Amino acid sequence: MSAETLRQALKEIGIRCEVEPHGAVALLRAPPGPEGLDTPERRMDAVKAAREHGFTTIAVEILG
Amino acid sequence: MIGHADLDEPGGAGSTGAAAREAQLADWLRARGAVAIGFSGGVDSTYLACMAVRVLGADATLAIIGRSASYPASQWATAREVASRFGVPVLELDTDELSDPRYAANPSNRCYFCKSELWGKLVPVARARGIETVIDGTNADDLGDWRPGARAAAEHGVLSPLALLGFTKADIRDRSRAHGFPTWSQPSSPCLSSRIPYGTAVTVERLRQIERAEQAVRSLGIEGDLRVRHHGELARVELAPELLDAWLAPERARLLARAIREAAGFARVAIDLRGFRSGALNVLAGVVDDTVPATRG
Repeated sequence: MSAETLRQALKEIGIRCEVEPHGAVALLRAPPGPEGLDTPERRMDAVKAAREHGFTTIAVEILG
Repeated sequence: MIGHADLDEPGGAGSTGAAAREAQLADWLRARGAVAIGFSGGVDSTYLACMAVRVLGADATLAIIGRSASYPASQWATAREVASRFGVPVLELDTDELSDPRYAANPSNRCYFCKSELWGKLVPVARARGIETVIDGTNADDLGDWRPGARAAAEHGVLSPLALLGFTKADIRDRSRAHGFPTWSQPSSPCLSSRIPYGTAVTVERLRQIERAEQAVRSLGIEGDLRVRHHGELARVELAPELLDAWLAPERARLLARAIREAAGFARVAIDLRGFRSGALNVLAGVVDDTVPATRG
C-alpha cells in the first residue's frame, strides 16, 4: 500500500491531488477539489488504481 | 385474516414467483398458529409482521422491537407508525448490547453479540406469552453475506421463513408494494454500528454522531441508500452512485460537508468515489472481497 505511487498513478491518468493514507482508505486532497473525477468512468479508473496500489477504498476530501 | 384467494395477484413482470412464495408463507404461518417477530420497521420484518397479522390475525401475532443505542430513532418511528397503520401488535424491549465489552470492542463478529442480547431477551418474553415460534426477517439474499448474527438466531431457535421459502429482497419489495406496505421502497437500514470500522470501539457518542450526520445529509434532500462511515475525525459519505455527479460538484460538495460538520462534529468530510455499497466495511476489513462481481445492491 503506497500513497505516493498511487498519487503518481492518478497523475498519469489526469487526476492531480495529494493522497493521504487513512488505513485502507486512500484520501484524495486538492483544493478546491481533484480534477478529472467528473464522470463515472473516471471515478472507476481511480477506484481501480487505488486497488492496484493496495487500498480497498478511495474517497475525496471536501475542503473549504 | 386472509386465505390464498385474498392475496394480491402478481404486480408486474417477474413477480409470479414472489406471489407463489407468499402463498407458501401463508401456509407456513398457519401451521405455526401464532408467531412473535423480531421487528425493526425495515422492509423485511415489516412485510413479515403485516403478513402474519393478515394470515393469523392480530391476536396471534406479536412484533417485538428491541430498542438500543444502535437502533436509529427514525427507524423506531417508522416501526411504530407502520405497526399502528396495519394493526400489528407491538411490544418494545430495551436491549443493551453496548454494555457487552465483546460487542463494544467491535470485532468482525460483533453482530453475534448484539443478536445474542436481542434474542436472549425476546425469546423468553414470547414464550412467556405462550408463543413458541419466534421468527425474523432474514431473506434468501442475506444468506450469501457475512452475517454472524444468524448463528445467535439459530442458537435461540429463531426461524427465518423468508429465507427458508426463498424470498429475495426484490420479492419482498414486490409483495410489499402489491399490499401497499409503505416500506416497499424504503432503503435498507442496518444498525448504526455498521458504519464503524471493525476494531474501532462502538460508543454511544459515535453512534449519535453517525445518526446526526445521516440526518443532516437527508435534510439536503438526498434520498435512498446512503451511509456515513465513521473514521475518527473523518466522516466518509457513501451516496448512491447516480448522485455522485451532482454532489461531487464543488459547491454542492461543500454544502454537504458543512452540513455534516455542523450537525455531527466531524472535523473532516470525504465523499466515497465508488458510492454506496452494502457491507462496505466488510470489504475495508478484508472480511469479504468485492472485486467479485456483485449480484445485488
